Amino acid sequence: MDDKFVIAEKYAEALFEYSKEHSLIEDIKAGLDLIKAITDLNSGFLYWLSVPVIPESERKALIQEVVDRFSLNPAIAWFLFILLEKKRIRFFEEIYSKFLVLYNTYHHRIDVELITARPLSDSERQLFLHIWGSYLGRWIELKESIDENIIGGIKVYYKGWLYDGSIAKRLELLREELTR
Amino acid sequence: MTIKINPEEISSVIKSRLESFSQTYDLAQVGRVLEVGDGIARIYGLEDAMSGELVYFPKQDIYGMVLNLEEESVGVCLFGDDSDVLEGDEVRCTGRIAEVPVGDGLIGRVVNPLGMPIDGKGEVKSDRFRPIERIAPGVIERQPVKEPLQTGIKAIDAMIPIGRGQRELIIGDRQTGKTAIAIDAIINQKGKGVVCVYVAIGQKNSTIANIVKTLERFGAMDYTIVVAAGASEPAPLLYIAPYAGCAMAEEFLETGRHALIIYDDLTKHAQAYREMSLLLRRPPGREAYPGDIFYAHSRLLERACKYSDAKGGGSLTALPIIETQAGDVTTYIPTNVISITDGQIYLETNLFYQGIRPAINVGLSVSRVGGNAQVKAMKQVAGRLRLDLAQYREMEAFAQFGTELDKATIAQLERGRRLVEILKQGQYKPMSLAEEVMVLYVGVNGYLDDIPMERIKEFEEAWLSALKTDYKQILDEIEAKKEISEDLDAQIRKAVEEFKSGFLK
Repeated sequence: MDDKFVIAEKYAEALFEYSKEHSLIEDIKAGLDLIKAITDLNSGFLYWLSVPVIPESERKALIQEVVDRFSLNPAIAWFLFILLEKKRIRFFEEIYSKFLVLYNTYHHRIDVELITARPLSDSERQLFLHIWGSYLGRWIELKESIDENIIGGIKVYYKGWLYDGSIAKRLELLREELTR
Repeated sequence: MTIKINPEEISSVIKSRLESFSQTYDLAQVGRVLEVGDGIARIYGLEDAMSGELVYFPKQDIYGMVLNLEEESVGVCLFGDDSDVLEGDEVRCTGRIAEVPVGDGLIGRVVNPLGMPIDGKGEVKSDRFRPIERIAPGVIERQPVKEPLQTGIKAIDAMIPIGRGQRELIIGDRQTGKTAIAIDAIINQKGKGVVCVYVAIGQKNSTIANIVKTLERFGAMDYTIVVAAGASEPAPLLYIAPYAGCAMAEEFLETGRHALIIYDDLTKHAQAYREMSLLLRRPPGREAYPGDIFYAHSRLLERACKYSDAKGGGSLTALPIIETQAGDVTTYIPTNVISITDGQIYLETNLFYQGIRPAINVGLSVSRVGGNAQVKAMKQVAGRLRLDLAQYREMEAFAQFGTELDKATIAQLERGRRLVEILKQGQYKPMSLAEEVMVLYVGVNGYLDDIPMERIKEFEEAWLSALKTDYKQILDEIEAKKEISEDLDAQIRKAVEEFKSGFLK
């Protein structure tokens, strides 16, 4: 399904515009975070919401219950109702990630994935955030992961780009250089 | 033999390499595979990808080409096996448009559409590359076709002459000798300074192997490049094959030399492109071909040209081949390509089985620009030939009713039959210009009229061998002056009469 990203973007944009106009950005973000946490914990949640066998009223009631119990912004419930009616609830994850992109751009933040061979110390992390923050001109939302195969150095993913400064890559480049 | 290695030398080389090794990181745009199947992958990311850009799949070590740029994804065709590509795999932009190695190092080689050798003769020696797609030369850079490209086939060189820089379509049903004409044309370029590129698209690998073997047998591989995309290759490779072959041929055009390229055949190319387009979900049009199938062929064939003298005067002649079904030239692809090219050689099954080989339908075949390039000697004999054959065809229709015919008509029919007979030619037997002219000369001047039909072939062969031995000066003069002067005409008449009296004895 190639068009799911296109669909997700439309919904995410609408929701974000709405929350910006009503100054609800943080509330809506918190609400979406929570729904995302629920779906991560319980993989059946989204499925249950999207099966047509269960009456729509029951599914809506469940959403209402969740929103009420965690006292989320009512706009979250309305948004999920729209997704239910339009049968787009299965794209929730894509919509969420698109919303995050908009949210991060709004706050001058950027998602960066950092891959290292070993866990970073606090000072190293601060140094990375400082250097890359000024390089990218944004606040960095850092996600770290460990991959021993890169031997050393760092690999950084951001916005569709890969910066590869790992020892493994350097060795590969060196091999290419020597066998040329 | 042992190779002596100077350790110092090696380490100094490595050291200098290491010193020049300044790149300490690698920055690339990466995307992820969303879905893959049937040689087509959809990639998420790659926001800066260009249309036609090469992308690299590091895990599988294969390349692809960006074809569709969509709102959230790019459609990529894969130049390799797609069965190892998985959802979520990394894909990198290379920043390069698809290109192939070009140059003299490719001559004599059999390569795939990416320029990689498939003939087991080791690496292709080439350090120059050309993008497979380019905009065809404009009006200013061209000049009209003016030099002939001799195919060595009497019927073609006389009546459907091809000039250097022309695009002449070879069209006909299966098994009518389309490829044979192309191969003969290649064989005839020996020693004429024309580099040939044979692009096999979607053919059986055994057929391709046969063609290469034939070319080798006649020493034609010394000036020929074979670009092979067999039937077992995925559609994207078939699709780029003619463009890649054209890029290789353009290298010779650009360096002021002459090249001949054969696309065998564009029907399969269109089918491969249709397959790709449908998989890329482009809207289908007539016969399910995509809307830009005309452009796919026109931009390819427009690249054939004769450069102006300021640009070096090189030429690129294209002989595309189209296969028809049951002789129907009114289907989509044949009409398209007919309208793009500067004429067509139309081959017919009926003629083929009547023993008229090459099975050229002279009435339907035309060459729109080649006449300007025809040498004078050929014009002198061919002008009458066309006329005589046209009259013969007209009379033939009447003669079939069995009506009583007057003497003049019978004479015309007899002349026509002999001309048809003399235009027959065996495969792999291309003739030189002078030989062609001399054979046609005896035909159009009525010297065959009193030779029995069954002895025409024998007469032709004997006449040719007599020319080569007893009247060599005639052949030499035609080759040198390329025209039949009054003086030479008298010489030829004398020679024919002499020979004929000997032959009929």
